[in-house]
Amino acid sequence: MDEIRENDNLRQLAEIDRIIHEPARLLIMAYLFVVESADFLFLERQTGLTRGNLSSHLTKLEDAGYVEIKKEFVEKIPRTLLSLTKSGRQAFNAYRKNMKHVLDELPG
Amino acid sequence: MSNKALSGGIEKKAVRTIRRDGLETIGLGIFLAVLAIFIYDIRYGGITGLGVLGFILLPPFLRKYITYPRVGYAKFIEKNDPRAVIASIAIVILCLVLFYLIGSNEKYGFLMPLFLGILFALFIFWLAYRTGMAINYILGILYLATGNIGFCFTYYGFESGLVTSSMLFLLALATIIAGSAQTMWFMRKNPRVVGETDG
Repeated sequence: MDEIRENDNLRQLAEIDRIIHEPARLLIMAYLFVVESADFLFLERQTGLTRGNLSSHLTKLEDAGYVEIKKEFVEKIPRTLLSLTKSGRQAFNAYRKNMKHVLDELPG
Repeated sequence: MSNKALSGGIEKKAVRTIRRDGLETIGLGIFLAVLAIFIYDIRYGGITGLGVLGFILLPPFLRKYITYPRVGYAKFIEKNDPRAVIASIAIVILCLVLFYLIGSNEKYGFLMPLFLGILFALFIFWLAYRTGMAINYILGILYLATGNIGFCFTYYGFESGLVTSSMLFLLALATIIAGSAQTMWFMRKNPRVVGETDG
């Protein structure tokens, strides 16, 4: 019985979403989770990431289907609007539940 | 830290980034000035509606030119909790009813400065919580103090309408100055991003 429980805990650890688990991407997902949409500048300011770094992580999240990136012009100035997709929100919620369970099982 | 606390902390930080521009404080100051005119002379009642519109529409309009080019744009998720909506409507109706009862009855007219001082103090304390700006807490204390001083004047026989409108006008001035100071601080702390803001 203990062995089964131990295996379940290990499986939970293995099931952690590696796309979200990276610290910079976790921060990006967390900020996008609390907004309906935000532009690139807002995310850059909130996360403290450099422009290039942020761009690179957003590309990975977009490739995973978690983030939607829309480019538009607002009074002739380009603006990139970012938002979590439905699967992105579900993935973030699942990641949060998973991590909570894993952290609860840790000794100390 | 619980999940709710963590996401609450992130959301609070994100909201405050935008709300700290001082524009809502300026909007409130303009509304108080308009209300002062209405209380001084009830014939200017229509102007109060403009004041309310100004408070609601001016900050979002100015944000496009002052705030978003500096800290970026975000649209926050609207939490349409029916209980919160019903409670807000109930509070507004209660305040309007009390305002009417106190204002229309000479017997209770002397309470108007105290009532408005407390009402707007509570509002600005709520604004202070949303923005995290200490200056709004100071304004709230000023509102309470001024309401009490106004009450003393009206209790000892001074004309309620004149005392209340003078009090509101002074508070309007203080609020607009405080809001403008907030906006200038915000603009200095967050220089405008020139050119393309995209990655």
